[in-house]
Amino acid sequence: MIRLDKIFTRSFPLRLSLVVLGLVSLLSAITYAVNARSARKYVRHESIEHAQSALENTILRIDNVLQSVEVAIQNQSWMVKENLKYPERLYSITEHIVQNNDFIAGSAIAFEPHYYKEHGLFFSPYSYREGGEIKSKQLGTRDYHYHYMDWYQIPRLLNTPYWSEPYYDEGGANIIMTTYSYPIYDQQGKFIAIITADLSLEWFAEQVNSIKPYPNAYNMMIGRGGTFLVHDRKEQILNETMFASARSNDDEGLVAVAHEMVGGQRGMGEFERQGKHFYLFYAPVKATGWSVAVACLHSDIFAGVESARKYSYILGIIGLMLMTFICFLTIRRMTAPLTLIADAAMDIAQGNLKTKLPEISSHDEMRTLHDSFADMQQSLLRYIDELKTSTANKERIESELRIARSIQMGMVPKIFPPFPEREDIDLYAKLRPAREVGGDLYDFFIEDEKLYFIIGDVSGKGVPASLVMAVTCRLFRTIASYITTPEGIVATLNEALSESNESNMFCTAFVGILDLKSGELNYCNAGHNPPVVLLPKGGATTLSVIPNLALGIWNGFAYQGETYQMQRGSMLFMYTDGVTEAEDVNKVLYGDQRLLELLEKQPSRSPRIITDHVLSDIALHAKDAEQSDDITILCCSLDYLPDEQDCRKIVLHNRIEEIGRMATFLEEMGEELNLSPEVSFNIHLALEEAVSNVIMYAYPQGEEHAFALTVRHVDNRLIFKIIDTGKEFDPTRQPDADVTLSLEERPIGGLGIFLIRRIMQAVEYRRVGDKNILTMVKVIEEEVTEN
Amino acid sequence: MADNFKTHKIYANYPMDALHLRDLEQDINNLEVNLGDFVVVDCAGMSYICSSGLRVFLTLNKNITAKGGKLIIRNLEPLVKGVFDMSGFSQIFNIE
Repeated sequence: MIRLDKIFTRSFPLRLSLVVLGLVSLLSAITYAVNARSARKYVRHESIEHAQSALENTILRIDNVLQSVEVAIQNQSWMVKENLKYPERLYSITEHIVQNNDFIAGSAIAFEPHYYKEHGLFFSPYSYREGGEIKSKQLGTRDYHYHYMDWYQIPRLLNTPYWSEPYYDEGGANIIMTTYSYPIYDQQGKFIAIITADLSLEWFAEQVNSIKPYPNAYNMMIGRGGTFLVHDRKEQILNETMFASARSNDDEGLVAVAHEMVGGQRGMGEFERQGKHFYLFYAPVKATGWSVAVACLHSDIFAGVESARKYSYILGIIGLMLMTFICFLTIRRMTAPLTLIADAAMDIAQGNLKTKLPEISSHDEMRTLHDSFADMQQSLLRYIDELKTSTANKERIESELRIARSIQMGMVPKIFPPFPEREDIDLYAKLRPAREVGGDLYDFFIEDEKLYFIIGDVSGKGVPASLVMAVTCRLFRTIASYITTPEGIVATLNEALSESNESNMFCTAFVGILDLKSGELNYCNAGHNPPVVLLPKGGATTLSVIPNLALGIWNGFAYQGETYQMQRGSMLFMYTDGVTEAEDVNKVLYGDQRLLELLEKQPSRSPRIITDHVLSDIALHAKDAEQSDDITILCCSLDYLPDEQDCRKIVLHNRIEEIGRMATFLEEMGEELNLSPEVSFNIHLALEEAVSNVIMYAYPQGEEHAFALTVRHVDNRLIFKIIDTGKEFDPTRQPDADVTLSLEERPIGGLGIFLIRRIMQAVEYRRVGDKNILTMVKVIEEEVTEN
Repeated sequence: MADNFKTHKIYANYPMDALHLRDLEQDINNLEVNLGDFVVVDCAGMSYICSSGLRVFLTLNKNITAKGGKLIIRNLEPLVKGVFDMSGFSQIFNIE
C-alpha cells in the first residue's frame, strides 16, 4: 500500500501546492462568508420588500373596491331620500346598485318597522345576482327579522356607516358575505332606513389569493376578532380564529402576530408549520378593520441565495483545484533541477565523482546551488586524488615499517627457553616497541660457561632509534666476542657509537657477564635503570650501580665495572624505562615502587611467569592508554644444579599402583621436614593429581616407561619437578574448573589442575627437547616447622 | 509412605586415592536407587581424597539425583573436608 503521508512529505511541489491551496481556501472561505452574510441580508431585505409590496398592492385594490362601494351607496342614499314617497321605485335603486357594481352581490334598503303603513312591519327592497341575472325581492319576512341583524342595528345605533363582520347570509344570497350599511335620515334628521351593499367573501378570497410573491406562498385574512375570513383550508373559514389556531400549535410568536394583526398593525413575523419555516407579512384593511397576511416559505425567499451559494461553491472548488494543479505544475517545473541535483549528489555519494551535473538555464538560487555543487565536485575530485596519493605513500611506508619491524625482531633472540638443555640457567625476554620499530634492545649468549648479556634503550623512538638500536646490537655481539669484561665492552661500544654520532643520539645500557659456575656477576651500567635482584628466599632488592654516562655522548669516558655474587635460586630482573614510565590515561606513571612491590611478592622464580606478571600488571595500570614508550624486560634466573644437595628424587613407572609408592615417598619427606599434616595432605593431593596425569595419559597404553619426580628444599620453598618423556602436554593451559557452578551444570573434569593451583604457589610447564618438565613451588611456613 | 523410601548406606573408610576409587564406584553401581531414596556415604576413616575421588562423588550425585534420590555425605575428616571446601563442593553437596 502506498502511504499517502509519505508522498506528501517526499514531494516538495505537492507539499507547497497544498500549503498554497490551504491558504487560498482559508482566504476564500473568509471572503465568501463575509459576502454571503451581506448578500443574505440584502436578499432578505429585497424579499421582504417584494412580499410587502405585493401585499400592499392587494390591500390597495381591496381598499379601492371598498371605497367605490361606499361611494356608490352614499350616492344612492340621496336617491332614496328623493323617492321616499314612491316606495315601488326603490327597487329600481337597488337593482341599479347591483347592476353598476360588479363587486356587489346584493343591495337592500331596509326601512324602520311600519315606516310605510301599507307595507306593515317590514319593508326592504332587495336586489341580488342569481345565475347572471339580477333579481329583486322583499327581504323582511317572519323568518328573517332583519331589524335584529348586526348590519341594521350597529349603524342605526352608532349613526355611522358600518362594514359588518362576514356572516353566512341565509335570507338573501345564501353566501358568506360582508355588508356595508349606510344610515338614511329624513328632512328632520330622523333615522328612517339603512341602505346596504353585500360583498361576497369569495371575491375577497380571490383578491387575497392573487398575492403570490413566491410559488409556495399562501394567504389568509382575518376579521376584527381574529376569525379566519380567507384561508387555504376552507373549513377554517368563520369556524376558527387565528389565536386558537396558533395556540393549538403552541406558537406564542404567532399569537403575538395575531394580536398585532387584529390591532391593525402592519409588519412581519415568523412561524413554523409542518417543520417548515415561514415568514408572515401582514397589513390591515382599514375600512373593515380586517388584516390580510401572506405566508412565504423561508426557502423560497432565499432560494436565490441558496442556488447562488451552490454555484459559487462549485465554481470555488473547481477554481481551487485548477489553481492547485497549476501551482503544482509550476512549482514542480521550477524545482525540477533540485531533483536532478539530488540525483547527481546521490551519484557522487556512491563514488561516481565524475557524474555530469544537470544543465541549469535559469540564473536564480538553483543556479547558485548548481555552481556550489560543481565546486564541491571539483574539490572532491582533487581531494580524492590527493588522498589516493597520500594513502599509497602511507601504505608503502607502513609496509616498509612492517618489514623493518620483522628485521628488528630478528635481531634479538626470541626463542625461549634459549638454553633448554641447561637446568642451571633460564632466561626470558620481551620487547614491545611503542611503534612498529623501537630503540630498545637486548641480547645474550653463553660462551665458556659465562652468560654475556645486554639490555639497552636508545634515546627517542621510531625509525631513528631503531637504526641506532640495530648498530648497538651488532656491535655488542662483535665486541663481546673478544672483550671479556663488561666495562671493556661498554667502553668499546661507547667509542664506536660516539664516532660519527652527528645526530647526537645516545643509548643507555646495562651489560653483564655471569659466571654460571660460581654465580659471580660482573656488570657495567651505562646510565640505565638498575636491575632488580629477586632473592632465593623471596623478596627483592635493587642492584646498586655506579651511574656511568650513557653511550655515544662522550668519546673516551672511563666506565667503571662492578661485581655482585648471585646466589642460586635468585633472579636478575632487567628492564627499560618503558616499564616504570608506562602511563595510564591520567598520565600517572607505573613507577619503580609498584614494580619493586610486585616483584617482592613473586613466589615463582620462573623468568617467563615473572615477566608475564609484570606485563599484565602494566596493562592493568595503563588500561586504555596508548603505550608511549618501548617496553623491554630481560629476566634471568640462576638455578640450582641437578646434583646439588637437598634434592630428593624418585623414579616412577606409568602404573597406577605407583601412586602408593609416591605417597610413601612424600610421607617420609614430610616427616623429615616436620611438615604439618595439612601441608603434607595438600602436597600429596597436588602431586597425586600431577603424577596420575602422567601415569594415565603421557604414554600409549601397554607401554612401560619411567619418569622422575624431584623435590628440592630451598629455604622456605619446596620445588617439585616432574620430568617425563611422554607426549607433549601442558597442564597449565587447561582451563580451571568453574567452582561457582551448581552441581547440575558442573562438568566432570578440570578439577585436578584447579586443585594444584590452589595448593601450589607457582606452577610452570616447560617442554625441553623431548621432555615435559612441570615445576611446582610450595611455600612452607618455617614458623610452623620450628614450633 | 516413609517405609517405601529406602536409605542406602555406604561406608567409604579408605583413602580415596587413584587406587581405591574403584571400590566406591563398585559399591555405587550395586545400588538400586528409587524415587525418594536416600544414599548416605559415611566417610569416617577416609583419610585422603584426590580430585578423581571428588569426581566420583560428582558422578554419584548426578546418577542419584537423576533417579529421584538424594545423596548425603557424613563424617568427613577435617582435611578431606578441606578439599571439599577448596573445590567448592561443600556448597553443593549435603554434608552432615
